[in-house]
Amino acid sequence: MTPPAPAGALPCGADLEELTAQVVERTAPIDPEHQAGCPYCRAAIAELSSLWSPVHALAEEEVTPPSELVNRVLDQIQELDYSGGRAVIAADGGDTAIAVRVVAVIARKAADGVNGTLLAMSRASAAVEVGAIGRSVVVRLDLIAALGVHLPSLSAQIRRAVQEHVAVLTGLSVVAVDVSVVEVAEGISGS
Amino acid sequence: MPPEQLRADDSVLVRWAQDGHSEAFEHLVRRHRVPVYRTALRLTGDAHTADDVTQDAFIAAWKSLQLFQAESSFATWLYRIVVNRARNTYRSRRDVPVEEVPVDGYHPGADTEAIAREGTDRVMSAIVELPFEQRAAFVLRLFEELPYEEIAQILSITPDAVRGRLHRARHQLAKTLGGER
Repeated sequence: MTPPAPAGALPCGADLEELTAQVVERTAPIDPEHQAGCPYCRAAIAELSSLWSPVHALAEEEVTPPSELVNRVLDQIQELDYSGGRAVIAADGGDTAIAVRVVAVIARKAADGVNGTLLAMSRASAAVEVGAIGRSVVVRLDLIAALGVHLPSLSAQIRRAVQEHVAVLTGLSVVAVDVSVVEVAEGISGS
Repeated sequence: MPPEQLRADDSVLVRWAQDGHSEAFEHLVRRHRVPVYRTALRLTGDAHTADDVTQDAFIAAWKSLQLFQAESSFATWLYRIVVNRARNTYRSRRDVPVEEVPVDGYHPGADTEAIAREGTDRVMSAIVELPFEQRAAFVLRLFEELPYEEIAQILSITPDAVRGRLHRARHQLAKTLGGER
């Protein structure tokens, strides 16, 4: 005499919860050979497939975001760039406004180009911060320096690189570049 | 930015965007807008809220793009932001603690008969009634077809915990729909 199947199991011993997960999540069977030949499993799978079909129909439904969504996102990003502050170069023909984010990118590239440094991209704050009023900008950088490098010289090099790059590419006046060495590490180019 | 760069994979576009090329981020937005919106829609069950959540998610991604360090894929990171935004929306609208339903007495197949009789609208309503953490796991698995490991990363839980939430979600969904027969 065949012993009764455990609770939650089919007479063949297959776990009904596992079968449900397989059908609902539409994953491959754990034991395809058994399922293909077992009448209990085949019946259960057919029943479950039919029962959960509205959920699958919902999953198959095509979802189309509103057509203007992307433009709204991009407009907000543009506004955001300016609301973070901007430097302005006034001229006879009109003003040139440069978002602080643009200055930050230039400063970051300039600092990246100096051997023996790595920008400290902490989760709490950005590694580069820029303040700007009119033509004057102040840049603050958090850096990880190569272990063994003379830090004052490194700071001076970075300061010079940032000042030059920002001045040449934007025409702005870099009033100060504050450098914070927040960590030293081996394996950075220049160590 | 040359057109071939716009066909580049996400990691290249993210690097370009981090370097200040806003058109690279624009392309990332266009590329991911459907899965992001779909996830928001299935999590909130409302097109207007999904629109807000999607917009907020992309803005949040832009704001913190410099902090993205490719520890996960960009898509995974984006999913995490969308889920968090949807969770915040849910919390602000329903100021009640989320209670998970115990799984004792669940017999798959018994309650689920009702599901076949429900239209997709009713199914969507039932999904939105799930506790948020179960719903998030269910939506990412069923609608986005993500593997357990990636869902675990998005929800900051273990793959086993994902499995548990899916189990409870199936149970709760069957119970909600079955109870209305």
